[in-house]
Parts: sequence; structure tokens; C-alpha cells
Amino acid sequence: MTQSQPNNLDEIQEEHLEADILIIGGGNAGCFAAIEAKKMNSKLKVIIMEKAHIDRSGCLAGGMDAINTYLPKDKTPEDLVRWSRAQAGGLLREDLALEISRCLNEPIEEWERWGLPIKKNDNGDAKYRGQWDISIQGSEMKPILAEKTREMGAEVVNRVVATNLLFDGEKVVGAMGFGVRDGKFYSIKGKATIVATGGAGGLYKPYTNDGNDSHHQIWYCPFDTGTGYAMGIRAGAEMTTFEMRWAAVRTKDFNGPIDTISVCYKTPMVNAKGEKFLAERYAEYGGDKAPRYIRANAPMEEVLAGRGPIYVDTRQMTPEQIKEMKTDYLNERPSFVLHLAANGHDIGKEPIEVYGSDPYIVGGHTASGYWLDENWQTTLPGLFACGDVAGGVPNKFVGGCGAEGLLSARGAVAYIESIGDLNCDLTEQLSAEKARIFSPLFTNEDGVLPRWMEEKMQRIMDEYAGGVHQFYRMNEERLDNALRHIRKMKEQVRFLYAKDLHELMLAHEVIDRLDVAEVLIYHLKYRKETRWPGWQTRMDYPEKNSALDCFVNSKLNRDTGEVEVFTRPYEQIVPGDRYEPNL
Amino acid sequence: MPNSVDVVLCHCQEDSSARLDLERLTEKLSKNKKISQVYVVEHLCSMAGTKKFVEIVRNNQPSGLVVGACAAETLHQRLSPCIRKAGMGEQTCATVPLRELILWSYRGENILRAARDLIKMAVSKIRNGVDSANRTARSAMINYLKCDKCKRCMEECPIGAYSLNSEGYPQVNQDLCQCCGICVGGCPIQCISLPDLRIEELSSEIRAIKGDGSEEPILLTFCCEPLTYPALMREIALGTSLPPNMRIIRVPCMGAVNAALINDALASGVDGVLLLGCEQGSCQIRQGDILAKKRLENLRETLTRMMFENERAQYLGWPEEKRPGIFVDPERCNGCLTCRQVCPFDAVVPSKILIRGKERLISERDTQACRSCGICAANCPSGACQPIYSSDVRLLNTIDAFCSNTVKTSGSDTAVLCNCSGKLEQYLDFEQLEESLYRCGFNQVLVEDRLCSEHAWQDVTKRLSTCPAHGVIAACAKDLFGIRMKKHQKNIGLEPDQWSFVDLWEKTLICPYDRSAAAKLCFQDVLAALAGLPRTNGSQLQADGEETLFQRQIGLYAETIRSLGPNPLKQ
Amino acid sequence: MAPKVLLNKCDGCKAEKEPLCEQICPGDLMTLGTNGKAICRDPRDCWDCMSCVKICPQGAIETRVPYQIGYHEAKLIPMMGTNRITWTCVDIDGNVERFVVKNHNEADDDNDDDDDD
Repeated sequence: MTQSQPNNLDEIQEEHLEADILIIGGGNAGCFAAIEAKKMNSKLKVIIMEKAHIDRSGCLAGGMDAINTYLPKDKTPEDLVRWSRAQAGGLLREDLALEISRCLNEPIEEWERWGLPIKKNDNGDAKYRGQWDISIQGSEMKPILAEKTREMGAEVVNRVVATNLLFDGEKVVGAMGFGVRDGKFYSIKGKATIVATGGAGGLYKPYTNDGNDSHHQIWYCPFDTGTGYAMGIRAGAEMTTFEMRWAAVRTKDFNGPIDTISVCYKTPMVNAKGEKFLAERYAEYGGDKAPRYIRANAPMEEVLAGRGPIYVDTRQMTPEQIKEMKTDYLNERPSFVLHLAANGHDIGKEPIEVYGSDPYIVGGHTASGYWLDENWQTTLPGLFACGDVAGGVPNKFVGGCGAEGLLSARGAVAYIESIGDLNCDLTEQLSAEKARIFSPLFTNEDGVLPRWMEEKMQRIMDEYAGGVHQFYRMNEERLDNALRHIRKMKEQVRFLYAKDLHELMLAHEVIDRLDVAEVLIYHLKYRKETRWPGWQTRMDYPEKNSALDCFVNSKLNRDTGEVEVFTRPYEQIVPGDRYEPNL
Repeated sequence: MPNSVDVVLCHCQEDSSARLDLERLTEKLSKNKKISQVYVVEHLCSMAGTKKFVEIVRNNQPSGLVVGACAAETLHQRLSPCIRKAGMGEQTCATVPLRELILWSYRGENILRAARDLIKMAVSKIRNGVDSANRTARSAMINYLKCDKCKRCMEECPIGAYSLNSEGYPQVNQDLCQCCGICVGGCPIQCISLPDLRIEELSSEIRAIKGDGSEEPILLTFCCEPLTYPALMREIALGTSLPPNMRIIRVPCMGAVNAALINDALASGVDGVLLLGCEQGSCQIRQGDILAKKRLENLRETLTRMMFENERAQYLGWPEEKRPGIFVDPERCNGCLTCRQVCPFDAVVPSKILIRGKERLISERDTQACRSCGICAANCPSGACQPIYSSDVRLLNTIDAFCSNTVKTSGSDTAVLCNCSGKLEQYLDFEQLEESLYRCGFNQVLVEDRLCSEHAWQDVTKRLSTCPAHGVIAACAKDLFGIRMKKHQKNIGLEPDQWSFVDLWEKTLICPYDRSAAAKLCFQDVLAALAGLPRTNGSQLQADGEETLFQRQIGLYAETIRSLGPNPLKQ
Repeated sequence: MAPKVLLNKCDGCKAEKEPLCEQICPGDLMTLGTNGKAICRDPRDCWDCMSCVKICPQGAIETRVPYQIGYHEAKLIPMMGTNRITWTCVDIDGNVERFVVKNHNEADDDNDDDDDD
């Protein structure tokens, strides 16, 4: 229902809430953080600030068909870290990864008790579809989790978009935002704040939206727009490894996951000549089990070499397997089944074509995100992070992000015990942010629509910062070009015009994406090597540089307004060959 | 969740065991992992039976209990204090009406299968039961953890029992709520329940429906408590049987059937779902039928888009003229209002009308409240109250027709009928019964006032000794007479197997739906016993010889579903 | 992809301020139009998570594939039960596929061991 629009800032009502722990984002990680905090101390007031509706927000809106990391009975946390390290090309925060692995199964076991169906083998144990991943029937897993979150007594404020953090000096003491339904200005104070807003989709132009009616035909949740990163960036938090972008081979024209097919049903990836190119050309990296960036890049290399299209060969699958596979999709991305039907595609007769996705910044898959201490606290005191927004640990996926929810809540609960009551004057911050938030409603109607700026940003990033149309390739000069345009657009956000609250949300989403994109370009420029071909392919530096065998971190200098980039050393804890999953 | 569910089956000697093989049923049920123990208790309705039941509950402390017996409802009232005393929650006990829903509804082998299906449905329901202190609440309950504030309940509640609380959630006014379940049926996220209507439980009950494994379509019929369930039970009592795989679930109103339940049924392989409710606009609860039809139309449209035969989900309205009820003849009513004293449903409304210029007090019925039980008809001294659908005249005509056409005895038989201090007279016309029995060939009909008294029995012994032959005793508690018979056997000089026994009391007084129909049934039993015929399950007689609505319309429905073939979702 | 509202079925959730699809959409895309029916304000921004299709009590929303990436016209319709979804997929050649998927554990699982006679 269209709300009546305010004519000026004074007409905008305000809502001021207070909590012990504020959680920004009620997805998988955020819900688990809330539940854990309430479990630890039921008296704590926990508020979840949620942009959409907690029942279906975040990446799990459509569901999920697998938990990609779930520790089998005969494996140790160290085994998992070893595998994850090799998958990520040898670079990850082993301290954090070990902690996550130790409580990895906890959230999933809970989830099952609450009602999530997990496929079982004949012994009644979880059925592994690959080495580390189990199959689930998770189409309604998010509503199940949301109900439990409410049952535990966490307060949920739906349809409130977070825009910036609140500070008491150096300390984070909550966040501000606006109600996308009620049009109010919100401030929610929290003794501790946990950011769990997910990663950043929609930075790059996907090839799938070449038709205009499929703007959001992307793999990652398009409503996760990097707000959590952006709020931290603007506040001077230290970010890590943005340059390790996540791009993957997805089903062509749909951008759907393919592990469901290739891992679950052991279907090989083949090129136009029918060659199993992973096994044949990438044997040294592990063939079909090669690190994920190899598996993302290899098909694109095949296409470039004139051996496309690339397929996942489903023709050997039995009708029963096909039915089961489609069921898996219905649990995760139901519309893929519709997509096959809309193309009259009988996958028993014709293989499924695959192609690279647009790149995303998503800390649940790669290591991009906030730099954390061992208590999941960011470099901003009082601010904790979990899930896709938390950096340092790739291959967390659903289970790992849930586990991080627990860990960040533990950190936050311990933190608030160490500090007293909040007693600070926030008036100035509130009025400044209120003006910033609502200004697109009051700008000239001749201004810039959020959609225009978003599409321009996506095109620039795609062309100059290694998008899928460029086969993920980039060089210094192109990156400079990208940076120049992104900076120009950042200057021009003051021209953004929103005709209603929905567009106001879109305006802030593009503002946030621009901040993330800028930092991303800095990271890409800094890593003058090619460490993860596909995820990060520098045409001008095609080899690995051992001097950069470390984390690349960044931080906005709030005095100069410049993004400062520097390195942090990699520390090995789990012994063994970093590139070899089984040693 | 109850994990050990016990099943107690009532053994009603000849009556049930002749048609339902309890031994096989027990054997089958015992194999089911969800059932921990199956007990068979003789005459659960007797003092001895109830005592045995209490023992079982005390000693075993089962976390769930399913009782299968004849008139399960009446029995439930009797057993529930025992259940409470034993410390069990009432939500952990379910009753299955073995007689109406099984013995009378099915025939042959289907009886055993239906019994198994229904008991397993009840077990599933109990195992998925939601333990909740709120069971005792008397209004709809909202699960606020799920509620999305869509307020459809508020929109659709026929009596405006909903309002919004300070947080914008709907809340129920407990004093207004009539527990019709219309909000339960409409809730898009299934977060509303009634104390004894929970979607989770119904859903598990539905999923337990298996059918008999034959080609016969599996049909699920929802019946409403005020009208179609009792009406259907009457039809069954009068002699129609159900299609072999039809299963009945009772709900307060058709408006209480949530679309998710129909979806559940279709998804679990049920071939057809029938909502058996009121005719357009005649819902006692108000709007229930209209809403139910509207929701069903929506679902049927979706089914069509799904390329799924939408005939599989149907609404059938019970015709108004076939609605059971009580007709009060103003000419005969003397305004004594005896009916008002005996009516268990407070359905009698005294009213004044002008008859031939004179104002007179007569009794009328609140049709919303009347369940057409017939108690007023039995007690009316002036014969003014008559069940519309089965008046005494129709009943006796049927009996007469039956007697003259079907039964002929050997001519040397004795019938002993107990009038139970005149109680049975209320239901049976003894004079006409006597006459009919003589016409059947009995040469002696004895009517005793209280056969249970030593005095009466001595009289019987004396008179029987002059007439040695086969005979039948029709009276109330059978086990009591078993003992008496043994004692006096020698005096009479008869072997026990020369005598049959008809349990008049259980048949007539316990049947909660329609006492005159029950009386008729037990009359059939008397005659059948005398004639050495197999005992009735009602089906040997047609009510008035006319095809009933049930046979016509439900038969047509079953035929439609049969012609569609199996549900494509059957796995 | 885009949600298509079947106007003859949508009742705007009885004209409440926010119909259920509007409440649930993770992209804030559904809203109540001036005709009292739900409408998708920006079909191109839909991620086809199908949350609105699943929650609509009237079965009034369908997800459609834009012509740019699929042919005319396939359907995928979920029918929500208590603990399972029944999906029906009809492809462009009219072939029908059906799936019954459990989406919530229940206390009682279905399989009995007593054999049929």
C-alpha cells in the first residue's frame, strides 16, 4: 500500500529502541545469534533489525537442499580445515575456521529437532552426498528457524533497513535505519551489535539480465546488497580479502547451483567435444575435486579456447535420479525446474549447459568480509559479525554461518558483561543520519533513479573490474577506470531521487554497493598477482607472487577519506601441505 | 509426543465379534511399531469392563491411548474420569466408534481393514498430539510465534469474536467464541487451533489413511458435528454402508477444514476428498458452508491449473428437507414441556401460538441447538414430538413389513422381552412388537417388567418350563443374564446354546444419534436372533425401502472418483 | 522471473493493509494495488524464491519465466500441505510432472511395518 509521502524532514516520525544485543539481519546467521544469546541469558533483550520479513529473508528465502559442510563422525575439525584450506587456495583464518568446525554440527542438529528434514541413510545417519555435504529438504527451513527465534524471545523488527552504525566514541552502540513500511526513522541502541546482513550481490552485471525482465536472475540473493560491509567500511572497520570474489559455474541462463547435479549425482562436466576437461586438464589440482576457483575458471577457459558450450552431462541419469534431482532443486531454487520446463528441456536426453556466474562478495563461500578477533568482534569495539558478512573463513556455507551465529553471540554476551550501561548523547549522529537517509525523497524529480545508478555501476564493474562478460579478467588500467567511475558515482549519490519508500531502499542499496565496490577495486588493485584464477585473474600479473601469500586488508581513513590497503600475515595452525586437502 | 500408545478394544461378544475378528485385528495392530500394547476388554461399558480399563491405565501408564468400542462417544464420557484419575491428559486419548463407523459402515473383509485403518489413524493423531495445557481452553487459540497478522480470522469470524491487541495481533474473545473453527479453516499459515481441533493432528490422521490396498478409491469425507455427522450416522444405522475405502473425519463445521488438510490428503494418495456440509446458507454456525465452498472453489481452480482432476475435491450439501429434526404437532402438544426437562441440548423453546382463535402454549425447537436425538419424542406423553426423518409410524411400518416378509420361526419359540421398568416402552411399541412376533411364528411372548429381579426370573422359569424350545431373551446387561441363565438352566431344562440374547439396552440407550433408529435396529436383532439369521449390521434392511440420500449422492461421488482412476500423486 | 497475480482469485487478503505476499516478499516487491489486488511493483527485480506463491491463501500467484530466457509457457505450482508441498510442473509441451516433498519433520513418520493382507 502506498504510504502518503512526507513533504519534509520534520514530518518524519522517529522510533527509538534499546536492546542489550542488536542483531542486524535476521537470516540464518542472525537468527542463530539471537537464539544463542537468549539461550545464554534469557533476560537479555535481543532485537533483530530485519530489512524484509524474518520468515523468508536472506539467502534461504527459497530454501536449501544441502548443508555443504557437516562434520562426519569419522572426521575431525582439523580435517575439515585442511580441506577448506586447499579449496581456498591455501589462505584462510585457521584459528576461526577451527572454532567454527568445532561447533559446526550444532545448529544443524538443532534445526533438525525443530523440524528440518535431513535425508538419512539406512542406519538412520545423515546421508552424505559428497565428502562433507549432506542432503536436506529445506524449502521451509527459514520459517522453521524464524519461529524458533521468536519462541526464544528475540524481538523482531521487520521491514527496517539498517543504514549506519551508532557510536559512542570508538564503541559501536547500535544502528540506525528507516522503516520501509512505516517511513519512520529508527535508532536501535545495543550494548553490543552483531552484523549479519549477508554478502553483496548485484555488484556486477550478470549476463542473465541481458533481457531486461530478468534483472535479478542471479545466483546469490539479490536482496543482500552488502549493507553490512558498507556500514563497516564507512565507519572505518577493517575488511579482509574482498579480492577473493566468489564466482562459480552455474546453470546457463538461470544461474542456478550445479553441485546439486554434479556432486549429488556424480555427473561429469564436459566440453563441446565431450571431453571431461577437469579430469583431463586439471588433474594436478584434483580433477573433479579441484579447488572451487579452478572449477569456476576451467569451463570459462574452455569457452575461450573454442571448446564451448560446456555441459553437465545428465544423460546417464536414471529417471528416478532425475526425479530426485528435480526434487532437490524444488527444495532450493524451485524455479529451476520451471526454467527447464520453460525450455522444454528433458535432461535425460539433453545435458544441462553451464556458464560462469557474475562475481559476488560473499564471506560464507570465500574469505571476504570483516576482519575479526577470536571472539568474532570486528576492529570496531562492540561490533561483532557472523555469516556471509564475516571474513577470513571460506567454505562456511549454511552450517558454518549458523555456527558463526553461535560464536558471535557468545562473543557479544561476554562483551556486554564487561561494559556498563549505555549513557551517551547520540543527538548529533541521529539528526545527521536522518537527513542522509531521507534526502532522496526530497531531491529534484529530475534526479537520478536508483536503478540507473545500479545498472551503471554493474556495467562499469563488469567491464573494468573483471565481470563475467570479461571472463573475470582485469588489469591495472581497467581497474583504475572502474575506480574513477565508481568515485564519480559516489559523488553523485546526492542526486538520487526516490519517489517512495521502496525506491528509498533501492537508493540506499546502491549507495552501499558503491562503497563495497570501491573497496573491492582497491583490493583487486593491491593483489598484483593471480592467486585464484577466475575469482581473481590479473592479466598483467598472471602468476602467483609469494610476497602476497597473506591477507590483503583495507580500512577507510575517516580523516582523509582514503581507503588504506595493507597486509596481515597468514598463520598456519593445522599442519600439512596447504594445497593438499588430505594431508 | 506420546511414544507408547496402547490400544484397548471392547469385546462385545456376539455383536461385534461375529463380524469383526478381534483376534486378527489385535494381531495386526500388535505388529505396528507405533502401538506398544493391544488389550481386549469384555464389555467396556459394564462395571467390570470399566474396572479392567482403569487397571490397564494405572498399571501401564501409557503415554497415549486409543479406545475402540461401540458407542465411543458415550463411552468417552464414562472413561475420561478414569483417564484423568490415572494422571493422563485427555489429549492423549482418542476413541474410535467401532460400531457406527466400522461394523455398520462396512461389510465383510472391509470391516477388519477399516477397523485397522481407523485405529491407526487415531494412533497417528495421538502421536502427533500437541501437549498443551490449553486443551481445557474453550476458545480458538492462536500460535503467536507463527501468526503473520494477516487478520483473515478477524475478517471471517462469523460472530466477531476477534479483535486486535495492542501489538496488532488478533485475539479471541473467549466469551464470544463458539469454537466453530472457521478461523482454523481459513488461516493461511495454519496457526490457529481449537482445543480439540488441531491441524497437525488431523494432518497426521489423514496421512495414516491407507485403504485396503484394493483398486477401490480411497475417499476422505469431512463431516460436520451439528449436522452431517449425526445425519450420516443415522443413514448408516438405518442400513446403508460406506464405500469400502471411505474414511470419515469429524470437524465442527466445513468452514474448519483448512485447505492444507485437503492438500495433505491429495498428496498422501487419497483419491477423493468430500466436504459433506450444509446446503447453501443453512449452516448452523453461519457462513461456514459459504466460506468452505469459496475456499474449495479456489483450490479446485488451482487443481485445474495443476492439470489435476478437480472433481477429486468436492462439496456436497445435505438437503434441507433431509435434515434430521423434531416435528412438534401443535394439535397434539399439550404444553406440558416435559420435553424441556429431558432435552440435553436446551433446544426446547416454549412459545405461544393461536390455535383456532385460542392462544396456547406449545413447545418448539431451536433448530440450531436441536441434535434430533429423539429423547423428547420418547418422553412426550401426548405423542406430539416426532423425529422428522424417522417417525414412529414409519418405523413400525418397516418392522411390520420386515416381519411379514422375511422372518418365519419354527413355531415353537419363546421370546422374553424385558421392559426395564417401562423404559424400553419409550422406544419400542411392545404391543405391536408382540403382535409382530406372534405373526412371525412365536408361540409365546413374555414381557417382564424387570427381568433382572429374582422375582421376574422365577416367573420366566415357571412359564418357560411349559414351553421347551428355542428362544430369545431381549434385555439390557447381557453378562448379568449369563449368570442367571446358568443358575436356572437346570430348572428350565434347556441348553444355553438354544437361547440367544439380544442386548436391548446397549443398542437403544447408548446410541447417541437417533434412538428410534437404534430401537429399530435392536428389533431387527430380536427377529434375526429368533429366525436364526445372521445378526444384522443394519444393511439387511432398507429404511422405508427407498434409496437414501447417502447412497444416491455419495454413491455417485464414489463412482466419479472411481472413474477418474487412481490419484496421480499416489506413490 | 516474475510473479503473476491471478486477478480473479486474489482477494487482496480481504483488503487488509498488507496482503500476505507483501508481508513476506524478501525484495519488498509485492504491494496492494489501487484495485485492492496484489501487484508486483517491479517484476524484473523478483528472485523467484516463490515465497509469495507458497503463502498466498488463494493460490492466486504464479511464477512465470520471462520470455527472454524461456518459452511460452510453463507452470510450476506448489500446493502447500501441513508438512509437505505438492509441486506440479507443466512444461511447454504440456508434459506434467508431480513431486510430493516433505518440508517439515513430523513426530510420526509414515511408514508402518504391519503388512497388508
